[in-house]
Amino acid sequence: MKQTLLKLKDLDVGYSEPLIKDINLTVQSGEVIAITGPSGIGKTTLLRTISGLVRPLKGTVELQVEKRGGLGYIPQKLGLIRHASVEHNIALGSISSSEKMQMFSRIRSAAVLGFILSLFLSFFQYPFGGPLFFLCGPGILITSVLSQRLLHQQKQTIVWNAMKAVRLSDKQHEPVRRLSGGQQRRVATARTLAQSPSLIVADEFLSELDDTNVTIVIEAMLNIIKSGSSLIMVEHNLARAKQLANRIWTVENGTITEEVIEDE
Amino acid sequence: MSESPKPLSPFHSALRFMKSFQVLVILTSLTGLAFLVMDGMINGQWDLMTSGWNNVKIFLSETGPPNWSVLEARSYPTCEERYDVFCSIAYIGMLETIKIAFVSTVFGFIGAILLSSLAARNLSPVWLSVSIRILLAAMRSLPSLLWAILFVIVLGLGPLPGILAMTFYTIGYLGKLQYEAIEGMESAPLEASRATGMSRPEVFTNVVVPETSNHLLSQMMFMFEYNVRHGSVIGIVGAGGIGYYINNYLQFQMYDKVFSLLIIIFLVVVIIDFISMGVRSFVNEKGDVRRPSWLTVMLPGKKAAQIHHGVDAEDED
Repeated sequence: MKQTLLKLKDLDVGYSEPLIKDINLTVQSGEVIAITGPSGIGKTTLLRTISGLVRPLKGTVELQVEKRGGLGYIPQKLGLIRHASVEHNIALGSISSSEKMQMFSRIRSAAVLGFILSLFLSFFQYPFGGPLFFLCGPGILITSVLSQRLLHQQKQTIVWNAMKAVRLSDKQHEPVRRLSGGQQRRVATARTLAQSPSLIVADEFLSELDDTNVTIVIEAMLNIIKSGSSLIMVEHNLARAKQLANRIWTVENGTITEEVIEDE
Repeated sequence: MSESPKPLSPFHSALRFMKSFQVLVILTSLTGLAFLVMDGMINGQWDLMTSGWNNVKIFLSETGPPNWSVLEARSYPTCEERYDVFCSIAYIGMLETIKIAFVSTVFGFIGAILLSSLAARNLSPVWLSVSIRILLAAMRSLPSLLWAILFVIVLGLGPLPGILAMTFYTIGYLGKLQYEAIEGMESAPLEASRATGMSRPEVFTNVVVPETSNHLLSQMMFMFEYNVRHGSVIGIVGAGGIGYYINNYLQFQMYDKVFSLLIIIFLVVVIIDFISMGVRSFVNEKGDVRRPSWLTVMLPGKKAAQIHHGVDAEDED
C-alpha cells in the first residue's frame, strides 16, 4: 500500500518575497516527481524548503519520514568533500542509514564516554574511582572496540554496495577532487544510496552528464525507488522528465501546475 | 533590430573610467594616508632614517660574526652524551622551546577546535557563537608574554607557566583563525549532511574537519612555528626555553652569542615551514598540478609548453 511521504499545504517559498505561492501537493512512496521550469524561478528554493534548510514563508511542509536519515538531499553543487576519498564521501550517507548502524554508534559513544569518565575518576583518585576503573574499565573498553568493529563492518558493506551500484569500486581511495564531473555526480548519488532514505530530493543531478553516466545514475536510483523510496528531482530535459517521472510539477509565474504522466 | 547599449552620462563614464583604476587609486590613497599619519607621529624627522643606518652598522660590527661556542658543551654539568652538541646551550634551550611550543600547540589546538566549532556562525546559534567569540577575544587580547608574566607570578619560574601562557594564547588566536576558516567553507556539504538529519558533532567531525583540513593543518603548523618564535620571547620573563639564555646573554652584552641563537631559531622556523608544506600536500591540490619552473617562466610560450607539457607546440599550430 502506498504511503504519503510528503504533504505541502498552502506553502509559499522564497527568501523575503515569495517565489512560488500556494503549493498544495503530496508525494507518495515509490513515486518519481520531476520539477521543471526556467532558471531562477524558485525550484531550488522549493527543494531547500522541503529539505528543511529554508523556512517556509507561509504554510507547512509535512514530512512523514524518519527524522534521521529519512531524507536524502543532493544539492546542485553536490556537497562533496573534495579532499576526502570516494569512500569517505559515500560513508557519510551510511552514518544515518539504518537503525542497526545508529544502535552500534550509540553503544560505541556510550562506551567511549564511560571509559573516559572512569579513567578521569581513577586519575584524580576520586572515592571509588580507582576500583571502579579496574572493575569496569576493561569491560567498557572491550565493548567500545567491539561496537566500533561491528559499526565498521556494517559501514563497509553499505559503502561497497553503493560504490558498486554507481560503478566506482575502482576509485575507492581516490580523492574526489581528482574525479571528473560525471564521476563526482555518481559519488553524490552513491552517498544517497548508502543512506537509503525514504525520500530523495535531487537538484539537477543529471545535468552535465553524458549518456553513459546518466544510465548508471538512473539505474542506481531506480533500484532504490523500486524498494519504496520516492524521488523529487529538478530536471530541465522535458523528454527525460516524462520518461522517468510519474508526475511533473511545472513552475511558472509563481505557481506550480501538476501533470500526471500515464504509464505506457 | 539589434539594440545598442544606452549611452552613459559624462559623470558615469568618468566614474567608469576611474573604476578601471580602482585598485591603483585605493592603494595610492592608503599609502599616502599612511605616510601622512607617520609624518605626524615622528614630527617630520625623516632624517632619523639616515642617521639610524649608521647605528645599524655599529650594531652589526659589534654583534657579528656570530659566536658558535653556543653549540659547544657546557662546562657544568659534565656532558655524558655521545656528541657535545647535545649538551650545548643552543640545543638544550631550543629543545625546551620546541617542547613547550609542541605541548602548547597540541593543547591549544584541541581547545581551539572545540571552541571554534561553537563560535562558527554556520554551525551554532547566534547567542552561543557570540559568547564564544567574546571568550576567544579575551584570551587573545593578552599577548603570550603577558600571560607568561601572570603565570610566572602564580606558578613561579620554569616551563609550566610558559606552556600555560602559550596554550591560552593559542586557543584565542587559533580559535579565531579556525572559526573563520569554518565560516568560509562551502555551504553545499553542510546542507547535504544537515538535510540527512546528522547531529551537530557528526557534521563537525565527518564534514567540517575534512573539508577545512588544509586550513586547519596550515594554521596548526603556523601556530607551532609562532609558538617556537614566541617561546624565545617568553623565556625572557623566566618561562623557560631558549629565551632564558638569550636574556642572559643580552644582560652581559654578549651580542655575538645572541646573534648565533637567533640564527638557530630562524633555521628551526624554516624547517617547520618545510614540514608544514609536506604535511599539507596530503590535503591540497598541490600534488595534482604541475608547477611552472623558473625556466619555463623565462622562455617564450611555445618553448615553455614543449618543456612543461611535453607537447610539440609546432604540431599544435
